[in-house]
Amino acid sequence: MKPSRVEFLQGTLDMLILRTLALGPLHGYGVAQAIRQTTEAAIQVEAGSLYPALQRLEMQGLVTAKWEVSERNHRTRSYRLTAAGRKRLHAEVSRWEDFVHAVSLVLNPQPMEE
Amino acid sequence: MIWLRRLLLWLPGRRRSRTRELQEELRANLSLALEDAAGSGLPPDEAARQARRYFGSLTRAQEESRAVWFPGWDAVSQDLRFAVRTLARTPGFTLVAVLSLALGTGAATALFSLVDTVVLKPLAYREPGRLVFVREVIPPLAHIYPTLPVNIQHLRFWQEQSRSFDSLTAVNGGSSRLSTGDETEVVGGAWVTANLFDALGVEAQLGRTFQPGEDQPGKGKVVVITDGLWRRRFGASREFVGQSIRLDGAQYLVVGVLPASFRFPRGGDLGSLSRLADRTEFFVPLRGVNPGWGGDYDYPVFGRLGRGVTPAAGIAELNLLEGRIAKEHQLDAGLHVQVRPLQEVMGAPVRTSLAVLLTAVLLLVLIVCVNLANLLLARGNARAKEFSLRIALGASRGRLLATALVETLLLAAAGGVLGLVAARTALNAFVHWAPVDLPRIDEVRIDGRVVVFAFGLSLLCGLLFGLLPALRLSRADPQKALRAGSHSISGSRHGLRLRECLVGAEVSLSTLLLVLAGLLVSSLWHVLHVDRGFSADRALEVRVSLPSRYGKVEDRAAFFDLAAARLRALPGVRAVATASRVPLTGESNVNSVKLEGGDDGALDPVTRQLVMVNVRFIGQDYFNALGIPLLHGRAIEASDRDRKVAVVSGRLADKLWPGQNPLGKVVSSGSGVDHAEVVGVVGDVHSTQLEHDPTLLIYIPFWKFAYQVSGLVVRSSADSGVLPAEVRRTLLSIDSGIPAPKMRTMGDLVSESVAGRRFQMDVAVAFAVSALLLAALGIYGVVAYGITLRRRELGIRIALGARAGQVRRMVVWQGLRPVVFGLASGMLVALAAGRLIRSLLFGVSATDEWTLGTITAVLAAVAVLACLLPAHAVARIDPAGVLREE
Repeated sequence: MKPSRVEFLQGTLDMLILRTLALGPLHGYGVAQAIRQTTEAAIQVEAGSLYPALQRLEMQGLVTAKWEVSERNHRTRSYRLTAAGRKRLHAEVSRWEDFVHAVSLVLNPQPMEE
Repeated sequence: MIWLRRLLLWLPGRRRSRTRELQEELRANLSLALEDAAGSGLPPDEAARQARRYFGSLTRAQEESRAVWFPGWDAVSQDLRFAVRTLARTPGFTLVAVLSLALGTGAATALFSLVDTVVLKPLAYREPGRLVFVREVIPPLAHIYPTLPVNIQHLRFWQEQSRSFDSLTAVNGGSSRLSTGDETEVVGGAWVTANLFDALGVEAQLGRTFQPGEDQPGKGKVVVITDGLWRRRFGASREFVGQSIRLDGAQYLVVGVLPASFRFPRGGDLGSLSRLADRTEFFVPLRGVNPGWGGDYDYPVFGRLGRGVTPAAGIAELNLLEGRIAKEHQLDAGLHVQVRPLQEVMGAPVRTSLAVLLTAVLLLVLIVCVNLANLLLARGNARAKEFSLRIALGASRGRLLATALVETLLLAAAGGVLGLVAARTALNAFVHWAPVDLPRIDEVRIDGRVVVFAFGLSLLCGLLFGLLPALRLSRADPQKALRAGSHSISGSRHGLRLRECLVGAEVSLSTLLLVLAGLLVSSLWHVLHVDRGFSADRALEVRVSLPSRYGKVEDRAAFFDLAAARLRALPGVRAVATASRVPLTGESNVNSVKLEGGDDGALDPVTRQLVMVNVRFIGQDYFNALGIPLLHGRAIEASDRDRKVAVVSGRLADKLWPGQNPLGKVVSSGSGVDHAEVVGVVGDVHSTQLEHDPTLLIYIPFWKFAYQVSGLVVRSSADSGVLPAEVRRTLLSIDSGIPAPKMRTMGDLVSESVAGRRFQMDVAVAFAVSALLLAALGIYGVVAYGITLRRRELGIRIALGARAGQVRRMVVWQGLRPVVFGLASGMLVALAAGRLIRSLLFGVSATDEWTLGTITAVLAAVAVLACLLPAHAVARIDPAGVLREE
């Protein structure tokens, strides 16, 4: 039952949060849940990483936060992607894709074709 | 952007509210997680446990978030908490360190704000750098009066001819009776040329100052008053300008009120014979003065140099003009001017006092620093093991230094705060107790610059002497220190040597302060034991200001005769006399002397220079009332009312008629001494200060010269607190319209004349005692530390049969070693530097054996005591125990 943890690279968490928020504003727990569900519980973001990351993103101006009453009638802080955040997300994603591509080239070398 | 947001978080309250916000956010999100878990169908306990686990640690979330907001904060706050705990664990050390820092910064800060205000801060005039103060120098008089105020004709000539000065302005001080309604009060005032306020660059806060030409004859009588007088007497009423006040019975139109920031020099600031009041409160145009070209050097002169004109150019031009004056009016060739920046003049009377203070403070601060270094070094040695352990466990050198830095900063901050408090207290006491001759002392206060100075100094001391031991320690080799165990600590021998050097330095500096204090104490003793020539016991000086209706000299003489007669009748009064001026109240009526048969002024038989005398107008019983001894002939008597007789002082008789009988000689001088026959010779008295030579005096009967303001001397047979009240009542019974007389005992006058010196001495003694205490503390510390360090060795000595007394003597001797060096070097410096304070001393040379000997003895006694106290610990060494520890 225990989900296997995936260790990820520094900076990846920021990207995951930005990607999650790109779908719409969410509070902290919502972000954690979304990541957990999307990754089928492979990635479990815990509070000790999540909230500092949110603070960092907020200070960098990539997300904004404001207090809102959630659909379940809880007053929580809800985070929203800013234009700068969206730009950063695109940059991060393309960097990540380059990286994955490069790594996969190493792992699965394609036969050279003429 | 990010740094800006970070910066915003440092705003007061912002950090706390952000932390609270985060807590709230975490709590809200956790309850969402718990709700989700409750709906999962697991048993409630298990569900909550799992939800919490998935959610993660709240504490970590908060800590890490803080690290995002304030990078490095946790390390600093950890250091801070650690430092507070370490300091709290050694309260003795902390207390001594903070107190000595507070002492040093307090003293230095108080002095800084004093010097800052009195000497450094510019005067509240426009472009004060261009203002100068001018006096004249008359070579034949230079031996008595190196400089004199200015003759008004000379000033007018300068005003016409000079191109270097934008303006030249003269003032003359005095006092007048100011009457409003029934109330009469004597207030200080100045008679000034109309351009005074333009020259100083001061504008009225209400109304106007003088207009050009308002000092010409025939213009209306106008007066400008100070803010102080306006508030005190006229309730700061804005309608007051345009009304009239009565000065000495004449109506004057008030045209303006000066701003509260306006300051005017006092007589004492401007050198001898400047007749300015101690507090000038009104200004009136100076009119119709037209004396000759060759006398009446009475007027202090201020000048404003033209833009870009150097003082040297101004002096050169005035001297050229002086040459023309001397030539055209047959005055002494060599007549010239002395020009000094006004700023310097106004601070000058206190410069030496402040220099003494400054030296004392510097020495004290140095001692504090050395003491602190000593303390920290001792503490560093005690903590060597802790540091070694931390190095061994992987602490970086920077981290260790940071710890030491935070600790030092904490000490410095505490020292700075306490120092400021001490400075404030000291300043308040100072302003209260200091003799009044500090100009602008009422402006002294603790401002931003002073606060910066205090903390800066505390920090500098702390950093300089706190980080050195830490640097030394952080370089220590942990292996060696840890291996050596508890018996000896690496480098501690070296540490002891260093501490001995520091103690030597401390003793040396203390010696300097003690010598300074000792010499000043000795000087004051000598001044107080100068032969005053009069007896100050139970004599009261009463200064009476007669209303203007006593216009005729006969009326005034009659009043004083009546007053003296009535006062004589009071119970307990032994003698009463009228006198224009009593000893120690300054020089006045200064003249050269002509002897019978001579046309020129009499010359001193030795120096061949003009003899200058002060003339005093006195009634019968004057010498009696003041206890001035009659040497030859007789005193002035009531029957001398219309006679041309004079009594001279002993030194004057010796100068004028060396080896002859002065009685029966005829003498003439200024101030109404006209062919007077000498009928008596009396003892010498001092006019200005006890440390100066007695004044040469001619006393003549007062009846023909009774002034509007004159004095009475009342001598009683017993100390009587009610006497002043009875005197006042008696005077009012003669004329109820007399303003309240000013009364001082002759004892007060003596105290006042030495107040400055006494104050200097008090300060020096206070500093010397502080220094001595600090040095004793240092000696004690080193000896005690030495014993701890050598416990084993001393224990073995005792085990081998040395008696505790022997061992103790050895310890004491070794403790005294740095003291001897310090004392010797301190004395050498004191001997060499003695010249510098010679001007402050009286009756004692800077190398006085008696003073230096006493100080050596005191210091040695204190040092021995400081060594003996810790040496007792030797007796507590248990040799068996020490050997077992091995």
